[in-house]
Amino acid sequence: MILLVLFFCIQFTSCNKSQEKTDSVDVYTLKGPSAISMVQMIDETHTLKGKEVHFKIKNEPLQIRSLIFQKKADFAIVPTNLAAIIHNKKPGYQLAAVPVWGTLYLFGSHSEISNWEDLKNKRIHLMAKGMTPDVMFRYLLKEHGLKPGTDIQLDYSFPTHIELANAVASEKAKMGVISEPLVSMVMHKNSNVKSIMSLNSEWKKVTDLEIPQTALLVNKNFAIQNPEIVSLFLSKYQQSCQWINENHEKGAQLITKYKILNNKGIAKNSIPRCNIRFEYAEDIKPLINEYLNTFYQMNPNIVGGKLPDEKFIYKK
Amino acid sequence: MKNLFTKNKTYTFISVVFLIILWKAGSLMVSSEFILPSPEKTFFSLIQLTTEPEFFNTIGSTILRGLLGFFISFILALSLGIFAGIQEKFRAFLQPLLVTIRSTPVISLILLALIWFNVNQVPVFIALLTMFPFICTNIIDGIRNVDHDLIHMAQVYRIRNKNIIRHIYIPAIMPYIFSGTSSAMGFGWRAIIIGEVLSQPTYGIGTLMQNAQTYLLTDRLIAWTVLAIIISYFFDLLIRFIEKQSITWKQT
Amino acid sequence: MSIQIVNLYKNYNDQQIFRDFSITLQENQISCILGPSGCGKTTLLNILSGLTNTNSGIINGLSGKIISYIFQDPRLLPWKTVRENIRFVLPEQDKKESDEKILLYLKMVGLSDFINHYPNQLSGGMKQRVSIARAFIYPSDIILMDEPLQTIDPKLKLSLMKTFLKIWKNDNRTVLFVTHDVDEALILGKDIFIFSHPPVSIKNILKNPLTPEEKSIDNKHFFELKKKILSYLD
Repeated sequence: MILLVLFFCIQFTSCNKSQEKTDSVDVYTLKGPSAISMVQMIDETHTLKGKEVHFKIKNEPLQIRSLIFQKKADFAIVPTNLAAIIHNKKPGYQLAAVPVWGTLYLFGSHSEISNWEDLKNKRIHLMAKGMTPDVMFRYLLKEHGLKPGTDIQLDYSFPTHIELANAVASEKAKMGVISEPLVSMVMHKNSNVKSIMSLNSEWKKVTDLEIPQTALLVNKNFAIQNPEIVSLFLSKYQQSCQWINENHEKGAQLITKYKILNNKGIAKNSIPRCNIRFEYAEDIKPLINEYLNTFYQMNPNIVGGKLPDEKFIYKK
Repeated sequence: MKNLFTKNKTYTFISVVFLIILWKAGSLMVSSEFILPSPEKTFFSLIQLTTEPEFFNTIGSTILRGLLGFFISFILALSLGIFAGIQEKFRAFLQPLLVTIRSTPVISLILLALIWFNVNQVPVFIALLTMFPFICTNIIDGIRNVDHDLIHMAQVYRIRNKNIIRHIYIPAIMPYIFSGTSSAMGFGWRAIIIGEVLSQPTYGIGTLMQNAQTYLLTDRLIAWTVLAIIISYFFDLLIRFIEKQSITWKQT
Repeated sequence: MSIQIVNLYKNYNDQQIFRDFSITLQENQISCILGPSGCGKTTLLNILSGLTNTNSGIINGLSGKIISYIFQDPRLLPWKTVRENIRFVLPEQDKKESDEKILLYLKMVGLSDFINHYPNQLSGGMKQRVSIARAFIYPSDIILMDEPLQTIDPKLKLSLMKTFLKIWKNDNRTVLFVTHDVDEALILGKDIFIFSHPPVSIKNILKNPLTPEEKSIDNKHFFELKKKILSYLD
């Protein structure tokens, strides 16, 4: 009986180590600005150097995280701080590029808010405690002298994007922090809801830097074995990001075609708010480190206990 | 008799030690601190947890929610259950409600509760819905299993209904109440913690579990789990103790 | 005042148990109904104790009367001590008063040492003795007994019957008991009614002539009467 149990343990662990990977290029992106940034590539790039490319759009970062642990992803989009946590706990993926910058907005039906002082004694809804929007917002609160709990109430009762968006649309939540494209979607549903602040701009005001919010990760082993594919992918992605910023009309069409959003009007309005701009991670290393360091100072756990080392950034 | 008792306890002890060894072996094989941390690291985290400033608030909040959910469930189940056990028609009326609540997946209840209630109430509501049908059904069964010969005797001796309930029905269903309660509490604690994970109240074990998960602090996650198990076990022992004190007549 | 049942009609599950049945039970006397199983003896007790309705008929002498019952099985509450079990049927009385009474009766049935024991610590015979004490302590006018010695070890039956008679002697309450055991009828009963199968009629009434000394199985007079009764029962 004891041997049986041990046997299963061994099977389980060895199974994890030798995952059979299909001979295709698997790309996982998040529904939202990152998928929007990739949409031209999704439409046109079907093979790279003879290998089939599969794009999969996931709803939650946690889903992509688990695919990363299973080493199923060749390329993956995750929030940048999650990329750091992954690198610190289970290295194997490197940060190749930042395609999407700050997309978080404070929005809601409280129209009288015009500055941080006005937020005193208000209730702000955030998604999950510890995730990027929460951390970012609390950093900005701290910088403006507002203490959560005493000066301002933070409410986490709507744990996913969709629930929080619906709550703001129905005005059950008067104010929330959420990412594009949900901001545009909710504003379309309820004209009372306005965008109150762009966290990206507020961050810039305080730190003089923008928010490298979303990271493109590449599987290290995959990159070592297929450096040309990686380089090709990155340049095509760069093109895709440029294209969508210059082609709102056609972009909106593709966005609805691939079911990222279901309304062309919303899609079109959303594109500029998505803050899409492709930068190679290698080129903006100091900026990324600054960003992670800000979080590290607040709570080291947010970036995985320590600042990621040199190996975190992918070198072209 | 005493020898047999010691023997059983020894086996329990061996089993626990064996599980810990298995755990250690597993963590060595996996050799990744965040997928399966070693027992020592987890134990160390556990100790660390207890020294953190919010520890008592966290444990206290979770326990309070659990107890609140339990007491409401219990009182509701006792009153409705006794009535349903005695009155056949009311039992038929109550039955669909009990079956529905029992069969609904806990997660559906949680997601609905998130829409209806505030973050601190959600776990209590979930615990309530998890425990109530269980205790109620047990009490109904208990009442229906009451020896009708005893009821007949009381009726012939013209005992008042309230005394029949107090001196016959309630003592007769005590074993059912205790077994129902002890099982229900087991579910209840689990439901509270799931509720807390999803509703994220300011203080709660579930909240901190979710945090640990977000930051991939697996040792903390397991440490909180161990604490949750300890709490559940403690209350189970408490119920057994109270049972022993009340049902003295059975031991003689 | 004696109990009179006149022109009783009673159906039970399509079977007519009593059809124009009448019987008179003398007060302050132990009456016995002797008959085969299923002949409506229990039904009659249920009617007298108010558990079952009649289809028609008149019952005199019961109005305002309180009834004690001794069942085939002791029917003690397992979670109460002997003392508490008896006190259970006396809810209105003053605790001290009832405690004294309980001790007295338990002495009479020889169980005063077990006053704080639980039923599961007592034998079947002891439990039935408690049931007897309970029936007597209860302030009733009439005691009904339904085959009370059915579950008792044959060796104990005689001592239990003697105990019953001992208590009853000071009390003289009207007692009606049903049995199918002729020995019991002859030892306990004064008026012995022999029932037929349903629809029930009284086959014979026997006024028990035996003296207390003659009430023994090996007594000649006892044996003859028993033979006679057995012939009536066939």
